[in-house]
Amino acid sequence: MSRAAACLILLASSPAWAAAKPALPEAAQVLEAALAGPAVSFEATAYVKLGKARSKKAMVRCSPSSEHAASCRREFPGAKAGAGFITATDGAKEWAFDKALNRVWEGPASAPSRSLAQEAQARYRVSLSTGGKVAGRLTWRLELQPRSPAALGRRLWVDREHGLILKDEAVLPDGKVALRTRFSKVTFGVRHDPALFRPEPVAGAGRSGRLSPGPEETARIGSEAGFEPRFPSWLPSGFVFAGADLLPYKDKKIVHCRYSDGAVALSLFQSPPRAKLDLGAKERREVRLASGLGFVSWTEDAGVLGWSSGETRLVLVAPMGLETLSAVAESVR
Amino acid sequence: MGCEGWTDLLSAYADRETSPEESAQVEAHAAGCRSCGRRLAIMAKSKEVLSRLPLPEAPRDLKEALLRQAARVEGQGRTGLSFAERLAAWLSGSAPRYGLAFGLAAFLLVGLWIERRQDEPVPLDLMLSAHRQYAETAVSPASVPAGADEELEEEEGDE
Amino acid sequence: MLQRFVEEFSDSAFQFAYRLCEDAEQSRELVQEAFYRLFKSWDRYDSSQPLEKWFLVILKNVYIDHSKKFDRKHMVSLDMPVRHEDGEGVPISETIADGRDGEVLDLLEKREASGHLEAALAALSREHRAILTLCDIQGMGYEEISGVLGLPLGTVRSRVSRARTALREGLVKRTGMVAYGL
Repeated sequence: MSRAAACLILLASSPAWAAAKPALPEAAQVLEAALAGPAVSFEATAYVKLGKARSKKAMVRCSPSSEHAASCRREFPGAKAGAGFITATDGAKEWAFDKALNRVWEGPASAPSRSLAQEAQARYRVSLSTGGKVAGRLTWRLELQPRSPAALGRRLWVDREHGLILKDEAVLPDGKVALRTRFSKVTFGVRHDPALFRPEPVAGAGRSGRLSPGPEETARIGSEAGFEPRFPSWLPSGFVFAGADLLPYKDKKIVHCRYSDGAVALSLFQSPPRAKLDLGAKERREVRLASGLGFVSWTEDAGVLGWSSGETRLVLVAPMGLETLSAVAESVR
Repeated sequence: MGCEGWTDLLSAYADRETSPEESAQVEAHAAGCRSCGRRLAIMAKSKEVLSRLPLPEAPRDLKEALLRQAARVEGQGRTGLSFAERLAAWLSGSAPRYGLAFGLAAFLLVGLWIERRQDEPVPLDLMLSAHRQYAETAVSPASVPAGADEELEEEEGDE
Repeated sequence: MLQRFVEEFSDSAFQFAYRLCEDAEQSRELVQEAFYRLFKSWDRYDSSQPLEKWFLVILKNVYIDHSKKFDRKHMVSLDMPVRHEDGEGVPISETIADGRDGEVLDLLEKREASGHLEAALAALSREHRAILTLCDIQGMGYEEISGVLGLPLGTVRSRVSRARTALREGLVKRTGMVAYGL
């Protein structure tokens, strides 16, 4: 059954007396199809808005694939000519290019360790309603209410015909929107040149792995910090390792790994082995990860996930829901 | 309304969770409606039988282990137990016969709050402000400017 | 205080867990994990809140956190909105059951009533079984239940009602069995 048809399934057991109301499809199925990625190729203008900051505009082009994840290219234009940030994936490899820095990242386009749809079902209560129009297209609106009151919620507006997420909001526990990605001007069925999704040769560019610095850099950070840092092997598509800093605290150093996709910042903090974490008065809840217990909390613009691996304490901060944060956390080896 | 419409009220009445006005309504209606009167009687009777259901008791060894644990926690006051003490308590007290319960396994995987009183704790707030600084000043590898176009509000009708 | 709580409440906790899992081993694990969390967070317990209620919330959260383990297929949760909850319409079976109410009442008067109720309770969905356990077996009021399950008061009222309707349907089926000598 095609994904588009899956979105239009009516409740088979609808009794006759329900015929007067519009028949809504099954929320879980719409969610699964939406998270699985686009079923049809498209081109769109995307606006990414973090909190109260002004939006960043990008051009997005995607082609679905039957073998692996969809091919996708997202381009943020720079402030002036010669600047800009491009990420592209052909489903097997991901590539990013920062024009101003003349730096290229390359690495495998890894699939998350556990199906995001299953993880979302476990972390949220999902409900569906009509969503009005987004980018001129009729949508279903999916409300993902987090089961933990300390985690971010999500709202998705999904194109009824093609199952594509047209608007995506990460919602803080106080109701404010931490991150909104919205498409405008979507065109479906566009034929894309496959070369768009493959790495472009860039003369003289600095090169690094997509998700972690090379062995030399890792060793340098390790010797300065006094312990070997760990890195995630999975991040949402588009994210690359932007650098690492050391935060000094008394006699310790905390490693701060910074990741970005051109608009959104994600931070991974690691404290030295056996160091305790002072969570302060922050409201938080326990959460179960595959590796054990962790805690989830939030700031005024991001979600927070903390856990332990071996004797190290790790903390992830990003304007994302728990299903994504925990997928990242569980990929840290 | 038809009898179906009374269901929620009847149920709340059986639980003594109705307001005085609602109670009066239910009583008046049930007196004159055989169907609702019976349904109310079924609810009340089911409730009564359920409240007297014989239920399985907690296994004796589980209870004893929990009591021992409770005694230790209370004996320690509010400072909590050290990692080694907790581990010893769990291993001696409550490891079930059929192997590690997931609770024990999770515990052994080192929860975040296992306290080591000797180390100075690292404040989470330090990390959070470092993230905020990063997010605000150097969000992307390239400096991508905020879009000049203002966001248009989508019309969200109800269809 | 903690020891007394364990003494008085471990049975009740086990029973609630048993109603959720219907399995003694899993109930044991659930209760152990819940008490572990309680002990761990004991120094944060605010004594102005009733301990029993606080503990039940912990127990419910442990159950939800492990719902993947306990019931992956259904992906239901104690807090998930149940279909038909907002009064979208009356389940068809309710009209059929109307005619058999007399027989259900007879059944409930018999000595074997508790056996029939146990069976009907076990056949309910988890959400319905959980809420009836809290309401009728644990004897909690709607406000307490609302606190434990994290549901608005109105939802508690309608969900208890739906659970009772489902229970009644289950009992109707059992009257059929009695009539045929099953």
